Amino acid sequence: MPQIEPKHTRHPLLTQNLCLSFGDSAVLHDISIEIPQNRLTVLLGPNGSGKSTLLGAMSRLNRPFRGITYLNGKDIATQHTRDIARKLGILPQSPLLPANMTVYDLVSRGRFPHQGMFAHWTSADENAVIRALEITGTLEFSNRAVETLSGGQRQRCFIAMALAQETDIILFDEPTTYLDLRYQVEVMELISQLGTQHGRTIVAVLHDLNFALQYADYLVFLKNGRIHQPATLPQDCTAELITAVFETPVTKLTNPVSGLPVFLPLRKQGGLKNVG
Amino acid sequence: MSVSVTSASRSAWPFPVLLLALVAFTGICACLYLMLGPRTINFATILNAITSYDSGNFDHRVLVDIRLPRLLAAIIAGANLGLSGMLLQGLLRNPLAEPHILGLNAGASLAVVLTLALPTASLAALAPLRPFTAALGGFVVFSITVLFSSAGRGGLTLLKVTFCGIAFSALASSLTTAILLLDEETLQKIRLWLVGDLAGVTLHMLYASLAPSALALVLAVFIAPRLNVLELGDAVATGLGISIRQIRFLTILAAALCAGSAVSLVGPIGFVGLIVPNLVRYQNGNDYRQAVPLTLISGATLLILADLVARMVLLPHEIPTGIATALIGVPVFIMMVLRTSR
Repeated sequence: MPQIEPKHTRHPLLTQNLCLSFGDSAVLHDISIEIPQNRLTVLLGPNGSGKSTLLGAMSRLNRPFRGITYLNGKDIATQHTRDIARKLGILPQSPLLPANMTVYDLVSRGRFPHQGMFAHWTSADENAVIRALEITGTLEFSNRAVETLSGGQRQRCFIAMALAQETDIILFDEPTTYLDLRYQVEVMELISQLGTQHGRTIVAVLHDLNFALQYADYLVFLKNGRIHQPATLPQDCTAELITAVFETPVTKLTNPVSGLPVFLPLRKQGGLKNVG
Repeated sequence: MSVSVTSASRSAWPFPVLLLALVAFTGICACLYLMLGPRTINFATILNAITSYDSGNFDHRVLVDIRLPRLLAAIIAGANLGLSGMLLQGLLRNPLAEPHILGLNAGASLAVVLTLALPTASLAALAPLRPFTAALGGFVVFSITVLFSSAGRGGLTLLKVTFCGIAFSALASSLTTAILLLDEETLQKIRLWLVGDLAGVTLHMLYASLAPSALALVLAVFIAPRLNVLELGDAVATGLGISIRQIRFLTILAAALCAGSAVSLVGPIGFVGLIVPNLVRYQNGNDYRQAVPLTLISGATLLILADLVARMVLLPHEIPTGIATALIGVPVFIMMVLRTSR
């Protein structure tokens, strides 16, 4: 656990009393969370709980009507969008993929916030792109068109683009959606390394509860646009908590390899018939 | 959302080679343009007219008074139409976007006809401002289009912009026609211009178009790297530090300045803005920074060739340039639509 320090230095990203609505319908109510530094924090909650909206509000994609997001101790709304882009990266849920774009080309677009008006491609840009390609294991096909790659490889390319941006904080919105099990593992292994091994502060919205429990350093539970449970360690999650958040009875098991909890939904009736 | 016209691989030509080759090709086309016509003038005479112009020499007069202004008009208008199409395609992430289809040209025409039809004598002084008048018309019509298509659920979508663009384009054209029907004198003055034609371009029209063209080019150089990022979607672009509102405004402004310059010179000519950016993308890939110079040169070349066809195909008669670009453009456009919807 982190030591007790002043809030702003301990948390590069935190929100205070965020309220946000789309039209007449309120989506976020009074959200105050602190994101732990150099860790992977996962936002969890049922559909419509406001996870993605919160991620958007923390990254100036969505404007709250009340409340403040602090990025490195300063109100994000008062910072220039390009300055924010040098400190905080966000990979949205479904980025568009232009035709005929090579992996290298895509990843190099992540350098945009570092390039001046007339500045040419510098060795710093080149190094950042190569490093991002290496970390994500995409260097070997960096000359191929992204559209010719598998879903998992593609997602790794987009993650490489976010890494090339070289921000201390990266937010991921459902990075494993639409991916097969194997690619979900591939992507989550990569994202979970970013915090502890590469010193990035990561926030991810995930759909899959058990995946989140295996990879996250902290979990934040949302329900109906409110924080149901602030940053929690995976091993501290209980069946009562999960049942309350997802409104579905679950039972808690333990992953025999990692020792981390796994939750299984309980069927209302039935199960194995004629046991014994 | 991201529609792809081209599925073939990028050319083997690196960007600087492609650029030089295009410049050379444009030079050849320009020479041919000056040489060919009802009266053929040989290359030596062209050089002679440049080095030692003789106002008593009929060939020299034809070259400098008639063909050269028209060539320069083709270059400026073609480059502007191409650039306008490139900017709109980048902004809307759609290879079928074009100033003619989306109503910028119709708005520009309406503004020009409106100022011509107003009977105030002082408006004659507005002739040097005509490209800006035309740009303003294009900007207003397309801004209304974008505002309307941003309303409602889902925000700005491609389909809505296209439908609104076509609708407002038709409205602007109807208003133009209505004004001209009421004002026969103006109609007689600009009937040919309305189809899009390079005949009758004067030097002071060329000078007037330079300022808005230069302004649009400066904007385009600023916009191009941003379009590279905008391609990945509004959310990714915002995350990389782009202000979507700012880039939309600047791009529409630049596209309108381009369309205004071109329309004020040669009338509402279609298809150049559609075809040229697609050819550039097909040859050189997605980088808008490189696409700016390539589009300018290719647009100029295409309009030089189209006008050459317009002047030569029914010799000694001429057909309007806009009809020549349509004859070339329609089959290419249909081919592109078919390949896109595949």
